[in-house]
Amino acid sequence: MQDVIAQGLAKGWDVHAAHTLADGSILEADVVVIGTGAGGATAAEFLSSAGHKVLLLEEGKLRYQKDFKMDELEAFSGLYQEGTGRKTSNGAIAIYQGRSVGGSTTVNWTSSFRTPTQTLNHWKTEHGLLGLSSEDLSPWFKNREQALNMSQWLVPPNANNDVLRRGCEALGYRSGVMTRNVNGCWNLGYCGYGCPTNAKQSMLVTSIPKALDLGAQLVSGARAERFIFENERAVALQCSVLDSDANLNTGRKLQLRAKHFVLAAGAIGSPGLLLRSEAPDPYSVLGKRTFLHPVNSSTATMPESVHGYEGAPQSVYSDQFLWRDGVAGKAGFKLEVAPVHPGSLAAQEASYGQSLANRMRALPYTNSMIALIRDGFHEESQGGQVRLRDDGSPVLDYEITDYLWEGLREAYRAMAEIQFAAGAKEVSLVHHDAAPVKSWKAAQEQIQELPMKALHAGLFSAHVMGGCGMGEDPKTSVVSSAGQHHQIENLSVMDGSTFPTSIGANPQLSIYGLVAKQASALAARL
Amino acid sequence: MRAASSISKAPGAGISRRQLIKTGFLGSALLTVSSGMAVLTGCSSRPPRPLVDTSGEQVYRFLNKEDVALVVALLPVVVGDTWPSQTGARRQAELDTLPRVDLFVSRMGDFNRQEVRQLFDLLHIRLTRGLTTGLWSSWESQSEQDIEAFFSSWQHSSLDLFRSAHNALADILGFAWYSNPMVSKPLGFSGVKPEIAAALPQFASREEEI
Repeated sequence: MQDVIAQGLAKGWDVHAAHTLADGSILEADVVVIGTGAGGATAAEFLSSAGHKVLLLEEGKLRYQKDFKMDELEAFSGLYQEGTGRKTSNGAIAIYQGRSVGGSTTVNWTSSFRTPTQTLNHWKTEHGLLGLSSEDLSPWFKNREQALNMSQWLVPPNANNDVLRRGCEALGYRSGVMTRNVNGCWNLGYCGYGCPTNAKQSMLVTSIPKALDLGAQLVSGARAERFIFENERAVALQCSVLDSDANLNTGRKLQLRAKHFVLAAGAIGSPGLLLRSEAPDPYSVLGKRTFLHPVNSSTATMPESVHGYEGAPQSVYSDQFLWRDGVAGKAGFKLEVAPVHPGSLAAQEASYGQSLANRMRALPYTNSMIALIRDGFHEESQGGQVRLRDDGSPVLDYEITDYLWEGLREAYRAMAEIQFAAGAKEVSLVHHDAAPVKSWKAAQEQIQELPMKALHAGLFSAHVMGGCGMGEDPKTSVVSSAGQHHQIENLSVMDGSTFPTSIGANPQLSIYGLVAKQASALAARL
Repeated sequence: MRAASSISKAPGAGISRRQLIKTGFLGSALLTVSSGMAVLTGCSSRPPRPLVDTSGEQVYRFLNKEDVALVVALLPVVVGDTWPSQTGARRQAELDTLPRVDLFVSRMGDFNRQEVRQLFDLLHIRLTRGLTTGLWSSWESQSEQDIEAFFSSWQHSSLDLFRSAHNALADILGFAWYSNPMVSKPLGFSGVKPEIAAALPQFASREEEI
């Protein structure tokens, strides 16, 4: 078990916490990459490999193995955007995005899917994307699968995932075994809190170390505030320096200069920075069409112990309902399970007091099933909009349309049916108006009556996509299929914010493959 | 409470659904009003005054004295009967959980911190607390039944503001309590197994690096 970060720091990597730099420092590079998650780190690796001097900027802190002590409070507050307090503007959907070096890849659950062919075809026919067909992207997916050691998980699923497998089997529904980006995984179940063994092949231990070995510079703990634009070019990026915990603003400044900028701050951060910078947006498309894969969930008490906090958090999925009515038909959903750690279960449950205590007492027997709704493929699913609050911070308005609510209701049905088919004694739909039910029949009756309304249903998202959508027509998109900003000539956007719809699967490999292709073309062009 | 009918079951001093709707028109403006009043009365002027212990050391990054009384009053209602009933154990549970609440909120970012501050202030000031919760006397003097009635009424309020405030309080306090392995291990959580801790270098080192 190697600690590649500790070794790299010891051998003198060019890595700085921003608060250790002098106030008003100006740093320069060929390319400044804003964000160190799936998009930014991949771009940095390809640009560095081509000989460009890269500076990687991260708002969060550099946290690595020494900090990954399998502790929920430390992880939730230290590794996620807004300390897991991020929500849509109406408070209805909790949003989990990473915020430390490695971005969301430091905390994701390792689930790796190529972008579905249905999605890529839809992008081509409905959004006019060029060069991003399954055939075009296939070599780039393969490249990243090899680089990040992605392979099908051959270890038996943990009992939590097995509830999904068994339920689907009993009902004749399709299910599959996931591909994971791990190397020497200990099967502990703490992927969401920073991998304690460095087995997860996140950006933190792969692309970022590669770029740093090639001479890239990393600055953490500084927030990108504003681009300075002159003559359709970005000439500088103004940053605020945060304290040693990468939490509070110190009031000190940092400025970054480069020939080219790559924006990869995620699908809330990237449009947010462009909005703050008053980037040209002649057709008012910036920040719009932001998607979430809205997730609802159902909690079951199983007769046997599940220990959903142990073992690979996600290893089984079902696409039975994903494309059930065609790509542009009813809202489909992917079924997965969520790991059942005590703090996150308590925060996720739409209950408190005695009913919460009862749920927590059943912790070892708890299965948590989730459904990810595929949004953005239908005219009644145009996504949300990122805007700025008075203090300049970005926030997402996201209205759940009747079209999506119908998908969510269907998803409650599918989850409860599968849980009872797998032998659940009791099922609690995560919804403020739902009492626990003991049979599939009772669940059906309850689901029929449940109000499908914001702040009634317990919803979350770990996949924010769009807001700087790709397209060849500047009237309907922010960047080209190559990630090139339509109005600013030395600015590219390379992260999940460029997706014109949601993916319909966990998006990390979609970002890796797309950005590998885009960044390698950019590296050749510069 | 998951039951949709819990409002009608809310006991005694809790405000009724109709009262809540009536005060509701005020309610949506109350967060703003209360933060204004806080400045006027100086009772929670910003920046917040974190608690200071006898040596003058700052105890909390976010919580002030009034917040502590509020959090201590809400915790048993939010987390249910895993909260200890015996006085000494209760005191220990408070001492264990307050720093966890404090760390969690203090790392939620500037905007959320400010929102939690406004919500806490609303619940500190007698007038705004009384109008929004039906609880007119101080947190220390409330019964768990009365707090439960207010908390349930917010959960099922027709006003999104109260629903989202309810969810925020339930999330923060529920997470701070149940994410503590001292609490979850007796419920069956395995936590970090000794053989795993022994095999991982980060559990050997005690020093905190920056």
